[in-house]
Amino acid sequence: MESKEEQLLNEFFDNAKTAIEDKDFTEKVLRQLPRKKSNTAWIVPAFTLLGLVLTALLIDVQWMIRQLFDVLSAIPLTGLIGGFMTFPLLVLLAYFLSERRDL
Amino acid sequence: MSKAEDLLWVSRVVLTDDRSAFDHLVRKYQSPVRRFFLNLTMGDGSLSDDLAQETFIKAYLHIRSFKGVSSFSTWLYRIAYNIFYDSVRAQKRYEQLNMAEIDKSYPLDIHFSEEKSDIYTALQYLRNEERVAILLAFMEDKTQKEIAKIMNLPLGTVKTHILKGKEKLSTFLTKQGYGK
Repeated sequence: MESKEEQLLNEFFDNAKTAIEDKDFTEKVLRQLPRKKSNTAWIVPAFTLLGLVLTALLIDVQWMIRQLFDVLSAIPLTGLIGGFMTFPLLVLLAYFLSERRDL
Repeated sequence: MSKAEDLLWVSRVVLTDDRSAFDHLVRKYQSPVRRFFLNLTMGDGSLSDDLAQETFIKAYLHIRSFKGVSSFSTWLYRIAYNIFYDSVRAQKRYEQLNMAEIDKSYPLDIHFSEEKSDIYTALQYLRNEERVAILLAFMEDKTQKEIAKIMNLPLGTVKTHILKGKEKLSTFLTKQGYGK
């Protein structure tokens, strides 16, 4: 059986018990959380290493290097420089785009 | 059902760092937690939101320490209570410095909301511990056992705080004409 005192207090607090609208509060909290750690970061280096090891075991490395030099010497110098410069720019662009996606 | 639902969301956050699961938890508890701080800070909306944000961020960072022995709500309020008390202690250290200098450089911006002035006025008559206990009991509908876990106090102490808080509040409310 509720006492008069309890009744009074329950009534008083019930009138004050209003819900507060979210209004971007949750978004603000989630934005402040630390960056999500990637569970798959090990996959690329692991498979790169595996690929290198398999290549070294399966093919004649000296023959491959000679073939590579033959191909590269057939490319004009400007093409070689342009190709070498393009590759790091493409990697940077890919990295930049992946960082933006994670945010 | 609510406790089981909370455990599901928590386990998804713990196992797969599922942000959408944490989003569900924040959306569910943002209103009661913010309201808790709003009443403790006498209607200071920006301070209470800052404290509430800190509560949820701390909950996320320490979510692995949630063992499921108490409800997620109790665990969350415990974090909220500790954060409130840290801010009170920081405020007290602040006030030990030269008050005139502080007022000049850091004007306090605590204002009572008009429509809630009665509740804030009433709560002013209580000591901090009584205020917290009363709010948890009457505003957030926590049981005395849950309040004891939240405040990390013996059950007997919580009962005393609630009893004294009730006495002071009912005296104030009766004088103000409530219950007539």
